[in-house]
Amino acid sequence: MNTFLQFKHYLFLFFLLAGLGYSSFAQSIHGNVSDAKSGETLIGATVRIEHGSTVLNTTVKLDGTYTFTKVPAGSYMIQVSYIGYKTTKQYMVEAETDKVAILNIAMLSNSTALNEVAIIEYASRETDNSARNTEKISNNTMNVVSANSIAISPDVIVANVLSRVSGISIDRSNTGDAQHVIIRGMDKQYNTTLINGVKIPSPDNKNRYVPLDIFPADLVERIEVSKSLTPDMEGDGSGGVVNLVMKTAPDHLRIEGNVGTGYSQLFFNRSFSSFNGASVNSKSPGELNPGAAASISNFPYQNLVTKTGNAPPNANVSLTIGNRYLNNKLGVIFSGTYQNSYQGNNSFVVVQENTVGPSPDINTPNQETAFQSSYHRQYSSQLSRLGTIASLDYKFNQNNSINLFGTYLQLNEYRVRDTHTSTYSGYSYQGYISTNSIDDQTETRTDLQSIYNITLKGKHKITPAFFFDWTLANSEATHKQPDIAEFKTTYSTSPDIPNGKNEPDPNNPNNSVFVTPDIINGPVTVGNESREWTHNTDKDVSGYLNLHYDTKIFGRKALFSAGGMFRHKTRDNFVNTYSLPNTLISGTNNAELYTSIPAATFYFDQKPANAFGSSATDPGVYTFTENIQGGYGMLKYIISNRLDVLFGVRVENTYQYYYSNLPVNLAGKTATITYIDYLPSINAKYALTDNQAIRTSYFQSVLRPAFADFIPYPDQTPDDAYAHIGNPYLQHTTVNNYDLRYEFFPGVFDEFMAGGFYKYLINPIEKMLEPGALGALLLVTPENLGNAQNYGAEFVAKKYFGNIGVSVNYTYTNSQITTQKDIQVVNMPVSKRNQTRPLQGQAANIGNAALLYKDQKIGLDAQLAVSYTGERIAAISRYYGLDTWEKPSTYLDFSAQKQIGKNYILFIKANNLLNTPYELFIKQNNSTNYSGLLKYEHQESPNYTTVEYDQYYARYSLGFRFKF
Amino acid sequence: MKKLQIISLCLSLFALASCSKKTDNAVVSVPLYQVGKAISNTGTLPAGSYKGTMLAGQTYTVSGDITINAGDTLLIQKGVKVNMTNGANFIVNGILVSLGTSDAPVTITDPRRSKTTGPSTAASDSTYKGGWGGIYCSNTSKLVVIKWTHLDFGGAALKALPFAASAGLAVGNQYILYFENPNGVFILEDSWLYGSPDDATRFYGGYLNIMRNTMEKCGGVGGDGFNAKGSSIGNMAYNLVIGGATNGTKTASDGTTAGPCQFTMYNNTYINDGYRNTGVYGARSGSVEIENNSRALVYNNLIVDCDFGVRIAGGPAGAKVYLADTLTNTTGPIFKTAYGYNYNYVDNAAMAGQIVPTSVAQAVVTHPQSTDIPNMAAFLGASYTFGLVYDGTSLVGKNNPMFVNYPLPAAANFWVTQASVDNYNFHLQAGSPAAGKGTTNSALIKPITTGIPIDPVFGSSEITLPGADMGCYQLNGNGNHH
Repeated sequence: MNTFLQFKHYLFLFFLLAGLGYSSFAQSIHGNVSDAKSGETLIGATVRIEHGSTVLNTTVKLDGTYTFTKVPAGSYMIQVSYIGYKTTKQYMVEAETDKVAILNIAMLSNSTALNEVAIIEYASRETDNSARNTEKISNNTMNVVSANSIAISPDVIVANVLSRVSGISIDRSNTGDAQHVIIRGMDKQYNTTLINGVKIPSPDNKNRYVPLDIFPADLVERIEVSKSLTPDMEGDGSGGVVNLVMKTAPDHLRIEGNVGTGYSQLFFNRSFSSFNGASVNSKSPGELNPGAAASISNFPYQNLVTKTGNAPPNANVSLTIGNRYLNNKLGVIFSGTYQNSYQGNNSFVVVQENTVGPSPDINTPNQETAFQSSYHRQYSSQLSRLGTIASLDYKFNQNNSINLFGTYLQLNEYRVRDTHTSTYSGYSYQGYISTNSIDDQTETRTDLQSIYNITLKGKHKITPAFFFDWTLANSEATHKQPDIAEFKTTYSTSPDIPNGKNEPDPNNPNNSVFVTPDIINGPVTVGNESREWTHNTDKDVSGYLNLHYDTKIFGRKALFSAGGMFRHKTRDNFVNTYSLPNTLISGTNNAELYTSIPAATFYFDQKPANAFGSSATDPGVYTFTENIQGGYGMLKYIISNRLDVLFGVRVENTYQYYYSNLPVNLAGKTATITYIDYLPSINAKYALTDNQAIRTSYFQSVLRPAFADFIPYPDQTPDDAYAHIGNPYLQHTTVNNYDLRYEFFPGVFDEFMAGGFYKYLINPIEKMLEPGALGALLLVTPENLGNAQNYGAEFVAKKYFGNIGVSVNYTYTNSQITTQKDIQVVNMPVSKRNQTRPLQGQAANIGNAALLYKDQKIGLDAQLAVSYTGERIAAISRYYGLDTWEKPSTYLDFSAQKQIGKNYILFIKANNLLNTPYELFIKQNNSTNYSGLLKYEHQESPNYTTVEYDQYYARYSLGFRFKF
Repeated sequence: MKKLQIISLCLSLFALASCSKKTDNAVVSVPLYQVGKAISNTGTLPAGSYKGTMLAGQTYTVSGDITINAGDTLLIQKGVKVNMTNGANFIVNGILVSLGTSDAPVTITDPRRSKTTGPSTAASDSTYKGGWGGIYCSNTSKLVVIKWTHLDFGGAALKALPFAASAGLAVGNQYILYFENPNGVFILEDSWLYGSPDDATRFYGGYLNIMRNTMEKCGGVGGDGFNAKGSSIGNMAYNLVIGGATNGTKTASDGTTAGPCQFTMYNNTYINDGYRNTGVYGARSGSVEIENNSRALVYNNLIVDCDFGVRIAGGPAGAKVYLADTLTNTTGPIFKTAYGYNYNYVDNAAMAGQIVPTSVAQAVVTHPQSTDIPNMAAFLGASYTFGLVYDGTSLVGKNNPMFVNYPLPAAANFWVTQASVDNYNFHLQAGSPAAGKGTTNSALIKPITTGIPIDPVFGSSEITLPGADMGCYQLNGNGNHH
């Protein structure tokens, strides 16, 4: 034995030397390592080969493979180990001279749920295609973001991770975080979010869909984005369904977590504003004393007093503990994460007006070049996110198991918004249009959002052919905004008449422009103060039952499924607003002079009705009930070795009712809305070869309007420049979806997918900027503007070259809708004409590219990611050609991590390195705003008008992860 | 020869005297018009739907909104006093007729308030707080007639929307009169509006005759007097507007797609307007403002100590937004905005510098007119371009209009605080430089009659033609009868 070992050593040395001298000793061992359940490639797993005393180790590279090159010929024992996975048994592999020995190994995860049918560790000697990932085996068109991808991506919240999936673009909140996804051009409202397959309510008071910035990425094991629906899925995911699969219990004690910190470039550049949230009254005076008039003293000034300073560093901790007990029958996992971060942005908005200038003819859009006012805003937010999940699973026996899952998510935001409002004049100062007055507003607000969910699931196998599963879920989402308080001061600004002079207006020879060498400011006075309380609660109770029968038809596998679900949803919405009238200096028409916020006085004497708040007649106070019942039947049939189909039909019955505090003499105080949808679908997959397939699908889906989209209540609580008002006559949308996709998996982790899609939308809902009952004010109103079509193509390509990987995805979407718009031609009444345009929120071009580097030897990972979203419509104008567009944006993010020892990983992330602005513009002649003596700020071109320009600046974070 | 003259004069006087004695001087009562049942004035009238007639001379107390349903008519006979409490409103979906007479006007008021004379400021005078609400007319309201009626202390904030407004109404609005039916008729004649916190009126549509009224103390720290928007069409003539916070009369085609707002504005008298607006609109307001695609004919107006003269607004930065419609149109009734024969008297250089408004606050497209007094076309010269800032110091105190009783030149800042008529008298003295200098040329200015019915009850009493004496009081007794 000893001799043999020595011989082996010599032999190895010989081969090694020979290998240096000759290239003919080319025998090697090669293969890939994957997760037996998901098929996910396990990059970084350690592969050990042993041949007598020869022991060699390597790791699985970024391309999903391991390779031992130029090994001495002979029989090797091979074994794979990886954190979170059961170390495999030893397999025998023969390295024959000048040949490549292939061994692919599928590992079993510690966390594999125990009743998953027959998932076993295995090894295969076939070519690279044994690793099937979820995308390849799923029934429908799907993209999956794995835990590993999440870990090494530059993102800390789920929504930012999603922005790297093909066909997905995102909406950002005022903190710069991605908040909602737009899937293949279908606006956020068309997409749904699930936790472990269960739909959860939204704390958002305006939207049905959940703001994804509430989810810390640490809690999520995997994200699945389904772009086509099967009959067992709820029918309201026309664009797609985002399923967040949360962490599940491992099979032995597992402790992992991270500790990190970070900072925003914004607060290197300017100071951070904060206020004392302790004095915020959780309820409005009208809730504390129903029916009574409030007094000024009910509105403490303390929470309006802000202070500025350096933002503290961000803090970020998470911990996951899981284990299995009772002879592995009971699995337990708890995961908690807490993030405290300081974010903000600087924003510039010019306020669009209701009226436009006349056009010379019907083919020239009206002109909207003039604006009366603009906002400069600085946001400072402290965001604290708390996320916890707990999951218990119990396996009674091989055929029966249940799982109890609970989650609580909380996002608290404490925000100061400083607004500097310019009201424009007709004179010029330093080449720009000057102001008649300046308002300075300080707004402080507290946003408390939370979601909790408890889900109980069971899986039961009655016979080998018949099995079923069920789910009962109870969820509640709450959003509170106690005391959105705004304090305002004003001063007038006038030109220096004696020292200024008239100059001809370069843009208009008939006008003279008065150019002032300096501005004379009037005294600073106190304006009206506003206070607002809102809260809303969404409660969902839902149940699902799915029956499956596995049989054979003509000798081929056929899986029949049928099931049903119900959801009872209730929402309470409350709002109470107060306007505190300012006081005048005795004996004058002038407002009180400003000295400090505590010293400012207000009185209800002049407007006694204001002391009662708005809630009594405010349609923003409403309750909403929605009952959905769904049922389906479907068959998955393997027609041949290459072709399988899944088809069926789903029926959904919708009942909606709301009751609002709108006065009885107005339409829309209450409404009852019912409808039934029949939603057929078919998914087919045809395998061209072992690693190439074509998928095609047709399905019908629906979009139910958000609750707030019905209620005729002008709501200006969000930061939009315009209030939002509902429309009780809104129709729900039905969508016919067609998909075709070609897939090619040339390597384990390499992939190429290309596809096309076509969607026909009946009654799509879009938000229009139009004058409502408030006359001169523009309101964002949901409308059915006609039918639309949406088609496009996407491709995904990933290629790995050893340690370096490149990933690219691109989606082209062409959506078209033709609607009637107003046009005001000179000397004619306002007339109508058609305009064809893309759907709102839909960018024609969306692309992502990432460059990855992974060096196993030194344990270094790095990723440079670019995401691009082309121009898209942000708001629809009622006027022809005057829609508000969002400029194309390119985001660059970087992340890197380094393994330190066995248990620690140091990471660094940097987001938004290009400080990409969020910019809105109107495509119109902008020459008078861009040049001459009366220019507006932030104008970039004589051909379009910039109406919003927001900057978020880069964000940095660093920390370490640990795993035991 | 002289004797002959005296004799002939005596003879002719005798002849005149004998002529006037041909008919007896009999004052015969006219029948009181009544619709439906009488409304009892016992107790208070609670909120609810009302129709029928409020009887002459009675006093009614109202404790909640009086709603007139579509198809119903509420008629208020002469001499009625309506005490509005709890900030109540008239909500008009049908027809409202308030038929005061010069001898027995109707009064709608808030009993908590009383009128004060002398200096008035927003801080000191409760007149600007809004007592009762207003008369809010929906787009089903076909006709509103208000004659010889005192509308005192209106403008309490709307607590709830009275109807689904198609134009410009929101909770919290504080108007006295609101009308939005583009096919309706709104007659406001020989009436008085006294005190309001914001715009006294908002007209978004319909055919209107706003004639021979007196408006005092309207607008707290902002608010226009007669404010026409939307597609409203009609006349604003022979009105006296004193102490308005912002503008006296204004047109703008806001909030409609039904067509441009078109008004004649002639023979109005504007006194001390535009000084209680300390906000941004105060920086560009005073007497007459024509803006935002509306058209107007503005003639024979008498403007005294107002912050601004007649302002034809242009768009900021030369753009079209806010620009009055100054083009020649093929559809009327007003085909092209025009103005002239307006009279300005100013008491300081700041006012003088805005007789032809400058573009300092906002762009303007006002042409100086040679028919104006003073002759601004001559004063500014041929090189004038829109918005030019000029020195008007030499115009201060010139062209005193010679009111029967009002101190001109006024003491400094008198114009800021004198916001009501009190015992002053804005009739012209014979020999006033404003007398006879107006135009009656119907090619320049004639009232809009389209759509305005003439009827003692259900229409206008009289659409008074333009008068030669500038301002609302004619030396021959025509015009404003207050």
